[in-house]
Amino acid sequence: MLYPRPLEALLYELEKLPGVGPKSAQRLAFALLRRDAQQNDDLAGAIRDVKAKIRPCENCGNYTDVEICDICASPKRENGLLCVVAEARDVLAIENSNEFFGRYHVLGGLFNPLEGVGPEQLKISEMIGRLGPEHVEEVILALSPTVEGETTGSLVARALEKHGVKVTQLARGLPFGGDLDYADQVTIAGALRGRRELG
Amino acid sequence: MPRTAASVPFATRAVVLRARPLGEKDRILTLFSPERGKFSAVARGARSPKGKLAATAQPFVLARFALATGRSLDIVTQAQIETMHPHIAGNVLKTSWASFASECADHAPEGVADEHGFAVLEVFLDALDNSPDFSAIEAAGVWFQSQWLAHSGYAPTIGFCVVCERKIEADEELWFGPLAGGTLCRNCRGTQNSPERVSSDSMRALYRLERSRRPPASLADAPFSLSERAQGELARSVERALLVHADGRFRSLGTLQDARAVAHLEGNSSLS
Ligand SMILES: [Zn+2]
Ligand SMILES: [Zn+2]
Repeated sequence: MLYPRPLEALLYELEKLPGVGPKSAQRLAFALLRRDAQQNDDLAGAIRDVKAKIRPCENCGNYTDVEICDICASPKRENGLLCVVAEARDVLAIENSNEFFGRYHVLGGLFNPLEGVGPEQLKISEMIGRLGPEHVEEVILALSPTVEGETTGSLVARALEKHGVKVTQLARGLPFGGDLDYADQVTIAGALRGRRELG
Repeated sequence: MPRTAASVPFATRAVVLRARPLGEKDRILTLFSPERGKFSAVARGARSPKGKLAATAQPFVLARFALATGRSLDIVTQAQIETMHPHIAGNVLKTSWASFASECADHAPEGVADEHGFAVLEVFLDALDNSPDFSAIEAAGVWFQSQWLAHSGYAPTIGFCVVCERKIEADEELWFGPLAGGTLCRNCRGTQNSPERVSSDSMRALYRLERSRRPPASLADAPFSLSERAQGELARSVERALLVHADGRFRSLGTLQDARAVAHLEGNSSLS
């Protein structure tokens, strides 16, 4: 069945979103059609804003709408404790565990030669640059327990070798192969508590 | 998953070449098996830490897969891991080599049986996993490259000049031409693009590697006993020959070259 062109365009765009199949795209599109114009304008505005105003924190790479994110700027955060994650969305997963009160460093990906991601593509030297000024004593590697995550972990650990900081890794509460941002809060909290020093 | 009349279940041993996220919870695997060669299959729920297929749906895993033919893609219904090659993950040099090998296999045409290709890949991943140091990793890597070159139908001609077909004597100077596909004599070297002057030691080693069923533990020790310099000639010759025939399309090559250079400088890869 053929839809009028504007509806067809909306369905086409919605279906590109993660987790949205043809059925849910239809449901969403018809729901949007039933709402008032103002509500839809607000939604469209929010979608535009998120791309225009959100950017990586210049210190840690977390999402922010200012130069330095709230976590980096907060005096309540523990100095000396740095949690290294692959992507900005992982910050959220760890924040939700309510178990970590230090600061973060977002690498911007995981070591993956097949996708052309080598050490140069990851923000490792930026992390090294933070050690002194922020008096970092412990770096926690919070990376997915996957081939990419483990190899990235040893890359980061090797870069930290000469800097005299303690390097720890999330405990193996997380089974091999799963992605970090899909672990639940309790599992992440447990893995943080049980973190082990890398030998 | 609903069973449809059209679904034909099948089972095969296969190596996971790649495992990319698919939607929220799944991964799409590129598999390489003796019977089917390269093919793709969906591992449902594999991104979730609780997913039954999470550990299987990782690169370089060798497993026995049960699959069902889906509407557009095959679907993994069950998997039994033979080995995860546990010493590859966490090691930058080994992961770089395994990625490069995966990419070679990934260049194979879809769905064409390839028992020999699978055997080479299986032996290589096993050797890589068990390599204790840098020289063992290098030996395994160069073995894989020479094997894959021959497997792809480009086994270099060694000992004869590829251009004039004359036998090159033991005391003669010789060159290697990657595009020409083998050794060149002094007279013919000018007819080829960027031939490299090589020693007969390195070329003999190449000839021997191609005919060995397993990688040697080291290229420096007997029976190869190659000098540092001859190892370099060998490594460059094989890699250049492989690149010529693959039109240089290797995404993982840059990372591999960097990792090899770093490990070479350190004299040893830090095996963590
Ligand atoms: Zn920040
Ligand atoms: Zn000749």
